[in-house]
Amino acid sequence: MNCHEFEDFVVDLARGVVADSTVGTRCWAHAAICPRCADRLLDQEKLTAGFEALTAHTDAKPELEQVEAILRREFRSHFAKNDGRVASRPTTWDYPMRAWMSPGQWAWVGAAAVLLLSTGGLLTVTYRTKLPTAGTANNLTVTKSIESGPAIAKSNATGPNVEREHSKARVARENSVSETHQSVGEKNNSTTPERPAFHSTAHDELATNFYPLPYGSGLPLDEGWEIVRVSMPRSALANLGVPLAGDPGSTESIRADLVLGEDGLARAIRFVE
Amino acid sequence: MTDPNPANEKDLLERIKAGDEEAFIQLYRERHPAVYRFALQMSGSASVADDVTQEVFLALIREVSNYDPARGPLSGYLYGMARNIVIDHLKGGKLHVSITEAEDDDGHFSSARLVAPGDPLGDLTRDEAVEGLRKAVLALPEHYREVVVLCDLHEMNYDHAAQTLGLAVGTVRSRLHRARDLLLKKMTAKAETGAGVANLKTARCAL
Repeated sequence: MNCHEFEDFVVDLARGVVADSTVGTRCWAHAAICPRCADRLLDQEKLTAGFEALTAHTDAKPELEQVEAILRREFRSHFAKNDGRVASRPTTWDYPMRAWMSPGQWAWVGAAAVLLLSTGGLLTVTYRTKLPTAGTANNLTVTKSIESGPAIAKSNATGPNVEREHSKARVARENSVSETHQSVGEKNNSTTPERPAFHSTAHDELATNFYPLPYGSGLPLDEGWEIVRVSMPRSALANLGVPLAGDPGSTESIRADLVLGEDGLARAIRFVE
Repeated sequence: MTDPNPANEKDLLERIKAGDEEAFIQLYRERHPAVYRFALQMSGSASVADDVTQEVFLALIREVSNYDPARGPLSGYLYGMARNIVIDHLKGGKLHVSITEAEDDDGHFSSARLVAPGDPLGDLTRDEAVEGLRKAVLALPEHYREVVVLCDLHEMNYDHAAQTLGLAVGTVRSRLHRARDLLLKKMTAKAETGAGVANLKTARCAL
């Protein structure tokens, strides 16, 4: 062993943590013939002794009782909260109604509840979107392009142009009916699916009622829903589960309002002219 | 901080997770001295060490359900939390590291003031020498200080220290080597000022 190799192990040697006893033996043998390395080892050993003394001098402890009291309070508070959370989320087996309702009855009740909620949600959507609230809408309008709208991204490689508007504040649009009139209706005359009935809205537009989308109507519609105005090719309707009329490959643009849930999935659609 | 009895520790943790307050207090009584000493040796302030110790165990109450024994021993978890909290104190300027005490009137670091009178390495177990060593450790850069505190003052092995600090074992080993050399230089600086301490040779020889 030379001095350089010794240097690599001198700290471990002084700390008594040389794992390989052969290396330790060689180190000691080198220190025996090299006074400078022996001094180096001695310094490191003194330092180790100093650390041991320092450790022994650092035995002061915090005020146990005071800290313990604080920790006990926090512990009780933390686990009391957790207990409360658990108690407020009973499992199915904890419901008292379970005693007098069979699983089959629960299934019927659940299905009825889903049906009621879906119907109620759609009625609410329809009602809200027909309210003329243009007076306050201008301040809240958000218009942006969405690159990957969850319900329509797959249908349009270039991404549809989307005007997003919050459900609580409809936008007063300045688009005329004539601008959109030719987009949906005229070219659908020869197609098999029946053309939806259009109603006049408060914004110089004609719009159909909202129609639940096949895959989205069973999903819950919570508070965070939005209506999003989209302009998309007719072919994209197929991806939404809406029957196509006319040429499926048509690139003709259609304007429609989508009801999006908070999860970004479309629940219903209406067509706008 | 050693893990005295892993089975007992596992049992304690299970009881704590189930809301057993006495189990938590038992764990606190077993483990707080090491956490406190670590914080004290890292910060140089008893009040900071008190705060850090308390914060570590308060955090343990909140996070005990997330603690996964498979990821490492509890001691490493506690040291890791203590280290992070000490660093937060350091960044927030709350630390009272005695580095300023080692500065002279011109604001320059004076290692001579870190050492005890006489031969600083002659007997590092004397009270004055221990105090000098304590200040020298506190004056080390943080990344060197933490390996010295863990490996030399808490006798943690390289693997455990590396796990606690999130470093490679080789990094811990080299940092410790470098830190000890820095300490030796500081502790022997008085010799360079002609105070007559032992003529230490910390440079490598060339055999």
